[in-house]
Parts: sequence; structure tokens; C-alpha cells
Amino acid sequence: MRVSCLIFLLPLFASFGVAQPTDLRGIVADSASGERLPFASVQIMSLNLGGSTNFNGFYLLTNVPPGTYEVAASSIGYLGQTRRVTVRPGVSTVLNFELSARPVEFSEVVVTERARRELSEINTSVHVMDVAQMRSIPSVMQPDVFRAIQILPGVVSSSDVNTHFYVRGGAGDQNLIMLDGMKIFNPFHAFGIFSLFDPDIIKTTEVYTGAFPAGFGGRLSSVVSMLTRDGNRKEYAAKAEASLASSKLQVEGPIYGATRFLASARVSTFSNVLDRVLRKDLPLSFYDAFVKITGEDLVEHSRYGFTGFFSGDDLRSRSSADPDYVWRNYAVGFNGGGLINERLFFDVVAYENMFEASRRPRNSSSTPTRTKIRETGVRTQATKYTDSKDLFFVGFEFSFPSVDYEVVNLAGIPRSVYSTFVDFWTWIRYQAKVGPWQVDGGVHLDAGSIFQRSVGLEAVEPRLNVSLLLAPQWKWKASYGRFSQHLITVNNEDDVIPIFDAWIEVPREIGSQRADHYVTGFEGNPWAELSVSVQSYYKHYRALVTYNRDKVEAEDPDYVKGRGRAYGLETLVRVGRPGWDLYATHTLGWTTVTNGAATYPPRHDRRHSVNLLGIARLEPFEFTARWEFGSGFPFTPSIGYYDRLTYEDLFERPIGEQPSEPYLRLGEKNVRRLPVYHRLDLGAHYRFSVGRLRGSLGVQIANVYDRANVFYVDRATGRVITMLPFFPSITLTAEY
Amino acid sequence: MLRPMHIALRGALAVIAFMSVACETAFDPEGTFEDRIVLFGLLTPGSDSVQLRLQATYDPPTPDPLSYAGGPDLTGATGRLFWERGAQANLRDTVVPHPDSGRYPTGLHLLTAPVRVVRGVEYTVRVEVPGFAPVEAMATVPGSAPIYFLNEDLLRQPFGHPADRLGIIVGLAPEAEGFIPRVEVEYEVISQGNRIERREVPSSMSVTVSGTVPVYPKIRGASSRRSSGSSTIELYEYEAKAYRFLVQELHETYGSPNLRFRRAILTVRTFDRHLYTYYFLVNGFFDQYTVRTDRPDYSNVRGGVGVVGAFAVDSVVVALPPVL
Repeated sequence: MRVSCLIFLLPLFASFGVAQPTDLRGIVADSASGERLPFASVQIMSLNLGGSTNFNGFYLLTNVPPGTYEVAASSIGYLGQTRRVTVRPGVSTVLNFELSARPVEFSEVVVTERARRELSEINTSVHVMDVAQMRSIPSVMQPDVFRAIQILPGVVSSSDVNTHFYVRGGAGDQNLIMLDGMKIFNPFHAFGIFSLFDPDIIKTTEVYTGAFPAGFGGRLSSVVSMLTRDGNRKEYAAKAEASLASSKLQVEGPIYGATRFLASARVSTFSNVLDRVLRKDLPLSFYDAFVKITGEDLVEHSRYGFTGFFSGDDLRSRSSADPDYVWRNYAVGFNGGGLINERLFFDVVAYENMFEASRRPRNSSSTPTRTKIRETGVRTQATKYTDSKDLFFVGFEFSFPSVDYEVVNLAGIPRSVYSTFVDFWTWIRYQAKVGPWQVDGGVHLDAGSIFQRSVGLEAVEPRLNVSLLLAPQWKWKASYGRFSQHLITVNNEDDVIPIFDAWIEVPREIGSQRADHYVTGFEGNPWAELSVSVQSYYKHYRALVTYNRDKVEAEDPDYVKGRGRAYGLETLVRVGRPGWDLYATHTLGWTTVTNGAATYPPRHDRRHSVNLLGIARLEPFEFTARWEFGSGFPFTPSIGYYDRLTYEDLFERPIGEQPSEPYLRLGEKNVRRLPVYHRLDLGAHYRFSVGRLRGSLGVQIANVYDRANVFYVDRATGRVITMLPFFPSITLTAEY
Repeated sequence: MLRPMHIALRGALAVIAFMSVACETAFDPEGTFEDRIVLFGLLTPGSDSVQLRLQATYDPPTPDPLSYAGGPDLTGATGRLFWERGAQANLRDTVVPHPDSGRYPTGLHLLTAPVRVVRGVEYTVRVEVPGFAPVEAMATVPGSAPIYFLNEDLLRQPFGHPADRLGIIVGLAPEAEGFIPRVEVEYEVISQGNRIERREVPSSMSVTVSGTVPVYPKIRGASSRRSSGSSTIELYEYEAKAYRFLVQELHETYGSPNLRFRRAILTVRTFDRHLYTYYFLVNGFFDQYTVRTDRPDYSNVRGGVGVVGAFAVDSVVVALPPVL
């Protein structure tokens, strides 16, 4: 079946291969490292003609009239560059740029948002973050990709101690996490305390908080697509960093010709430090490692390489009365991309990923548990540059997930849930600009479900993004998308810290989880220093996996189809001036899940979320402040106990002699709210250089005013567990 | 005119100050304690009285529920039992030793009425205790269940009969939601003084790492969900080898010359919907395949907590030859 699908699609791609002359194309790269720059802008000023680079740093301007032009290239964090080029008739002209980096000014991100890539102008719910932005955000002990994402509107963090996040009311397993096109199923170190990804290996992170375009699928809520750096093509470089949480070494450089490598490894520094963060007596050690080898051809614009990512966590409890936990992750992939015809750019990645976690009970009362998911697949996309400067995409993803969950159930019986199936997604997408209108529409087809789940029209997932330029400074946008998901986690949704993300296939009788997204809003720059975005969203969950509350017998299914909805309003304001930046977001949201006759807010439903971020630069210092506010999460209150008869010996004993055990009575599900959450973090960084050695010394203080934010209440002890207390930490970075 | 930067800064500080102070609320992790009557009852025609176990919900002084001791004050409890055509009986409050006398030294309240319940009849109990909201529960005693062995010859000739299954037919009355069969073999041991004993026949044998072990019948529901008022005929099958295993084991235990088989007794207990549902829920659905780890609750006591359910027992006897 695999081969037949490829055979089916190849002629489709090849049909695009009609030679078109008089084009201008090339690569935009970093002058120091040769790193290709995605989302860079390339403009022929005199023709008012331009475009932006793709993930490979490649751009192509079609039907450029013959002549000599000044062409300008620019990218966030780089000095712009203008080059003269002569375009001859009937010939495609190649013009590559190498831009010099300059100190990042956050204000540029703020006020030149319109200069971002074309895509972000059309889509309603997309955010692009680079390393500099991530490092600017105050963090606990070490910078973190996912912690940075949580300042975005619509994204709710679950707690201080973990980086799990919920997007626009969606559950944690509804976020698609991708690293260079490879899916990562558990992107967190133990307890979610940090994400697996070292920010310094990430070139760009693209976050779709909803209504994502065709090309992404398999999840209901969001996409976090991370693109890693290729490494330095011109010289060797090394970077070391030490913080209380982890120590890191990163090396990169050329191998041979245009081939380069990047290798990075982090290991936990002091396992005891994490006790204080987790508020538990748990010695946790972890590591993660990343290696990437990339080759390229600047003339043909092609790029190819290998990416490997590995991580592990070990929690060896000090007391034998507590269980041990082990987590392992890896993802490896071969990728390639290039211009295979005059106007046809091709990207492909073949990958395998694996996540495995296990619990060893030792002398504790817990039971042995293990979860494992492994997926092998190939993902490819072709981009067709058209005469009219519109873009046409077609692609597919073909994968073989296998999931295995072993658990000892309530009956004390070891149970294994194993399934393997074929995921086959294909999509077609078109981007066009007509006057003040821009349209990005397409269809994402869940072809695998047509055969395996007997799905009909539901397999067709339309996606549409529209934007209208209302005035030079204001844009109206609207999006719609339909989404489905076949894999879910089966954690108890009331777990405060999901230690175990056990994945299973959505029960076949339910089919798939399904949702529709509707988003609309305005964006604009009323002043040069101010940018504003207001968006409203509505998500309709047509099918969600929920507990079967009517289950009585073994024959009754564990799960049934529920439904839900989420809606809200997001506001984002950015004010930027040289040396100063302020970033503010507010999200007002409602989320409910309906299971049979019961409708309740899920545990991550948050009415108000506010994020304020301020950055001040006074070279060589940078000062940051972040304040986060969230209204309380729901919880189910306890309303007393009663002695419940167990009827162990129903027939032999009269009712007065039947044994009983205390049973906790719970009130209406999630009817109450925890207190509001708020926290102020401050950070200061001092940058220095000694010869060729550059470095920075950072000091961060989390929870400056020592707010006792309630994490959860331990029903067994009645103890109120609070989150991170006043917590100072330091980071030292040296780069050569 | 203030510059945008200053406006933004002041705005941000104002937001922080306002939200930090104004949104603060008192926090109590516990909801309002619900003081409720807890009522458990098993109505069965096999008993010459109706007994209801009367307790109350409690709010322990510490998070450990076992720290609650002594029991609630249920003085003055009154109850009545109603059934068809206006018949009723008073439930008398008595106090008996609590099974957990260490925790509840003052005893356990039982509401008792000298009534033998009748099959197929719906009963309503109403209980009032000063200081508590009154409670009411209804249960219908399952009607008669015609039961018989499908091939009782197998019982008489375990080693000569070709069948590999022993079939049991159970007619489930409309009021019954589920049933459990039990087959016992009665025999006489004639060494060291005669005595009569019974052993339950396993329904199947299971091979485990520790050897072959007997498996006994489990409660089973009606084979199909029924609309109210309809009966079903259910087939429950025993493995013949399980019966042979038991007979063989008895021979080995006592020696064949010392063993005289007397009879096989089939007992079928049928459950009403409330007792059936509750029994499954408190026992983790009896589902060996589930991955759920929650333990839901169930009650049919309006205004209170607990379950008043009903079951009935039917039996047939098959005479066995002295030697099998």
C-alpha cells in the first residue's frame, strides 16, 4: 500500500514541472554561519514585487520582467542587504544573500510584524518565535521553549512545575509537536518540568493556536512546529552553559565541503535542586541529546541531512516505599529538500520516533505500568510557484503508529492494550492574493480512516484562511478548519501532574476525535510603536473520548463519545521602542465538555489569562520582567464520606454484618475554582566578551513576591500544595 | 500628551496592582458538607424480615476518614415499608453491634419489619431521622426464575458422558437484571464418623503459572438489554472438565471407598437492577479488560445515599448415584 501511494502521488508532483523562465530565485543565509534563514523578506523595490523564504531559506519570484534591479533582503535580527542583479529573458537568475546578524531588538519584532512572511499575514492564529525571543523571557533555572510559548494568547500553562500546556480549551494531548517534521509524542522531561528541547538548537518555532492550514493534521488543538539549526558551515564553534538544573555542551562546524554538523547534549546538574521545584522528595536525573548533519548545494538550492534526537529521565526514589519511573524518547529522521524543477520545491522527511515510559512499584502500593508508542513514517510536501505568484502545495504523510499500554487494572489483572494501524494523510493547499484579499485554502484528507474506520465524508477536512486589508494599518482575518485525531492519552483527566502520558488509539467504536475551529479578528498597527491583535474563536468538539459513566458490566465500553466546545476572545498588544518593549496578552475563555447528561468545565478551563512581558536593554545588560495572571482552575470539592458496603460476601452475611469502607463523596464535577494564580519573574543578563570568547551571566528570580499559588490539595492529607516559591537561579553561558 | 510607552507602562502596572488585589478570593478545598442519611437494604423472599442498615454521611475531623468514630446521632429514626394496594409496615429502630466495633462502639442502627417480601412486588421504604432530610427508595423483588440443568445426565456420569459442557437454563423475570448460578455437590464421608459435606463446582479451569486452578461463576447480566416487562431465557455453561476435576479431587482426598455422593444442588440468585449495578460498580466493573481506574458511585436512595436492592434465590436438586 505504501508503494502504491507513492506511485500515485509522484505523477501528480511531476505534472507541476513545466519549465518557466525569467524567474529570480535564491537562498538567504546568515553570513557568519551559513545558516539558512526562513521567513526572510526579498523585495524588488522598483517593481513592488516580493516574497519570503520558506523553511529552507529559499525564495522564488516568478515572471520578473528582464532588466537590472536593486533587490533587498531582510530578516528579523539581521542587517538588511541590497544587491543589484540583471534578469535576462528566458533564464532563471540565481541571487543568494548572506545577511549579517545584529543585536536583536524586540521592538523590531513588534512593529514590523507586517514584514514577516506571507503566511502570517493570512492565518489568524499563528505565532513565530526565534531563539532570541525565547531567551528573553524570564524562566526558572533555564530557558525553555514551551515556557516561552505560554506567553502567547490562548495558551494556558498547567502549573509552575511543568510545561504542559493547553491551547484554546483543548486537552494536552491535542497539541501536535513537531521537530523538523518529526512528531514528538512526549516532549517533556519528567513531570513536564522542562521541555525536551534546548532552545539553542531551535532556529524557529511556529505555533498555530487554532485553525491551522492544510499540511498539519492528526491533532485537534494546536501545532508547535520547531525547525532546528543546521550548524555553522564556515567555522567551528562551541557553547557551554551551566545552570542549577542542567549543564550543556554544544559544538558545530563544517565537516567537508558544504556539509556541517551540530551536536548538543544536556544533562541534569543537581537532581536535588529539582526537589524544591517539584515540592517532592524526588531525585530526578535527565539528559537530552541532539545531532544533526546537513549537506547542501547552493546552486541547486537543495539541502539534505540526518537529524537525531534522544532523551531520557530517571526518577529513582530515595524510599523503597515509592515507585521508580523511567522515560525514554528518540526521534531520528532523514530529510531533504530542493528545487526539482524550475518552479517546484520539494521537501521530504522519513522518520522514526519512539516514546516509552514505565513505572516500577518496588515496595509501594502502585502497580507496574508501561506505555510505549513507536511510529515510522514519511512526510513530504511539494510547493509550486505559479505565474500569478500564488503558491500551490500538495503533500502527504504516511506513518505506522503502534501503541502499547500495559497496566494492572482494578480487578488486579495485567492488561495490555496494543494497536497498530496506518495513518495516511494527504493535503492540497492554495495561497492566493487578489487585491486586498489573501486566501489560504485547502483540504486535508484523512485517507487512512476511509479504509480503517469506514469514514466517509468526515475524512475530508477543509481548511480556509482569509484576510482583508481594510486600511493600510488594519487587517481583518477569518479562519475555519476541521480536524481529527486518532491517538489520545488515557490519563485520568483529574490528575494534577500527569506523570504518565499513556497513549492509546481512539477506540474504534468511537472512530476519531473531531473538532471544528472558527476564528476571526483584527490586527493592526495604529501607531508605528504599537501593534494590536484581537481574535475570537469558537471550537466545536463533535467527538471527544470521555469516560462511559453508564459502564456497569465488563461488556460495557470504557469510553464513549462525548462532545464539547470552547470559545473566547484574545487580545495581544505590543509596544516597542529602541531599548524597551512591552508585550501584553489577555485571553478570556470558556470550555465545557459534555458527557451524557453532564456538562462540566475540564480541569484546564481558565476564564482569564494575562501575560505582561517587559524587556529593557542597556548594553551590556538586559532586564526582563514577566507577570502572569490566571483565574482559578476548576476542581471538584469533596462533600464528606460515607461507609460503603463492599458486599464481598453478599449471600452469606446479613446486612448488619456486611463490612464497609470509607468512600469519599464528591460534589458536582469541577464546580469550584482554585484561587487566582499570579507570579512576577525578573531576570537580568550581563553579556561579556574576552577575545573570541563570548558569554553571558544571567540571574533570574521566579515568584519575586513569593505568592503562594495553590497547586492542588492532597485529599489524603488535606495538605494544600503550593507551586514554586521565591526561587532565584543563575545561568552562565560561554560561547567560542 | 503622554507617549505610548508611558501609557503602556502605567497601564501594565495598574493591571498588576488591580488584578493582584481585586481578584483575591478565599479558598476552601472542601465543599459544603452534605449531611445525608445512608441506607442499605437487601430485600429477599428468603428472609422472614426486612432489614435496613441506617447510617449517615460524615465529615471527619482530619483528612483521614478513619479518624471519624463514634457514629452520628440517629436517635428517633422512623421508617415505613409500603407495597402494593396500600399495604404497609413500620420499621422498628434497633441497635446492634457494629461490624467495626472498634470505630463505632455505640453500635449500628437497623430498621426492621417482620415482613417476608414477595416476588415480583415493588416495595418502597421511607425513613426519617430528626435533623436529616427524609429518604425514600424503591426496589422490586425479582419474580420466579425457572431453572434447570440442560443435560443433567452429565452430573450422574461425569466420566462416561460425551458432553464437554454442562448447560444451565435460567429464566430471568422482568424485574431481574442479572444472575449468578451456583452448583454444589453434596456427599457423605464415611470414614472416622459419617459426615455430610458440600463443595461448589467450578465453572471452568484456568491454567496459570502455579498450575490449573478452578474458576467459579461470576454474576452475569441479561444477554440483551430489555425493554421493561419482558423476560429472557439465559444459558450459563459449565465446563464438564471442571465438574470432573472436582469429582476426581474428592476421590483423591477421601478415597473412593469412603465417599458416597448424594445430590447436586443448583442455586440461582437473581438481582434487581439497583443491586446488580451497585455490585458491579463497587467491584471495579468485574472487568478484566478495563483500563479505567475510577470507582464510581451509585445510589437509588432519593434524598440520601446507599442502595436498597433485592434478590431472590431459586434452586433445583438432582439426585446422584452413590458412586461417580
